[in-house]
Amino acid sequence: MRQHLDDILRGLFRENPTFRMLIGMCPPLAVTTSAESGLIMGLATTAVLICSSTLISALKKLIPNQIRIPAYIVIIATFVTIVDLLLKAMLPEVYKVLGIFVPLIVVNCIILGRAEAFASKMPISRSITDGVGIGLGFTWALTFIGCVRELLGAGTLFGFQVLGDSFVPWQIMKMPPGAFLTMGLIVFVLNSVELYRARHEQKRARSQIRLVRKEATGQ
Amino acid sequence: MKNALKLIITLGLIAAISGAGLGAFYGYTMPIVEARQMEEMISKGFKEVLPAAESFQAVEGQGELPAGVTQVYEGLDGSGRRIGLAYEAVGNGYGGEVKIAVGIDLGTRSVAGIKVLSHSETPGLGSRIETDTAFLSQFQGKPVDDAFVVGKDVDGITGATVSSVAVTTAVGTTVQPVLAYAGEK
Repeated sequence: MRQHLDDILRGLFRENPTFRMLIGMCPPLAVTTSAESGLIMGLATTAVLICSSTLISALKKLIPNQIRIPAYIVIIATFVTIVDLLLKAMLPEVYKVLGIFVPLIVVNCIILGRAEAFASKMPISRSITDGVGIGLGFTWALTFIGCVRELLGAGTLFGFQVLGDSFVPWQIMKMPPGAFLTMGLIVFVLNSVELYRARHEQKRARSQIRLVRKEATGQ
Repeated sequence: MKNALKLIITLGLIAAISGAGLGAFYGYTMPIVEARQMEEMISKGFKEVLPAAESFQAVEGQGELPAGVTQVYEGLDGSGRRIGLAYEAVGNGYGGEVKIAVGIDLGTRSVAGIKVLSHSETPGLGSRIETDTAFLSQFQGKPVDDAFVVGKDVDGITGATVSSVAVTTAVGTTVQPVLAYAGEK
């Protein structure tokens, strides 16, 4: 149970696919022009990831090693097509915004990566929690980038006016360069925090060592 | 050999199950998508090009439909009388297909209005066919027997000749055949 909880937390933060592992970078850059499209794209990917991880984990003994990659791709493509059809039927407005990026979930390396690195070796229950963690980690990352870009690019959040009329939208945030700027700055901040923490840890460890030495030499 | 056979069967089985599942799922979602597209077409396209009509209904006509037109709809007034026709036509623009909705007023035998539904023309140049009211309004009330030629009886948009021609030709080449198809010749 602890392991399962850890799987989820690991995907959300420590091994966040977008901000920490920097894999599957196409959707975070391409579809995050608004918070809503980021959120829907993230949830669509999460749904595919959980379903395919579960099925791949369940079939791991039945799929011969030599053909595992084509088998995974067929399974992933099936779920992607289902999600694609569902979005088209149920949420046509969102589907128009996401367009080609929904079918492209097939080649999102997060999904094949989790299948190969995790689901094909782990029990079903842990594959599900891993999918939930990584998927939701991806979702919040996309939503966050979308929020930043939508706020600065249009002055709105999830379509609601947030900044006053005097705010002049930064056109560039809505365009592709805005995605790179946002992404780069977020990763910069996160890495800085990480570096600071690592240095802090090091310092503490050193002073600890000094203390122990002092005690050992009997002062 | 036996091993290879096993691989083929396994992968084939996975693909077959996946295919069957998707087929069933497609059959379930397709009617929803089609119904919605139809509804959208009527509410966004036809209502604007034939505002006088209260409701629309598919027409089962005789003969061939012109290229690019897949279905003709009749616009009915409150008492169910046919007052106009509406359909979707396709023109060949600079960047690909230009889809337009065309409305025909049967009372005056003229074009009631046109609306560009989708296009992939150059933004800022060809894309003006969608917004340029001076260009689009030329079609309003234009008799169906006109020539529909840019430079002759239709003024094109400067810098967007190909796109203007695409729209004009798409209307001009379909109006008469559609009338014939609906039995209004």
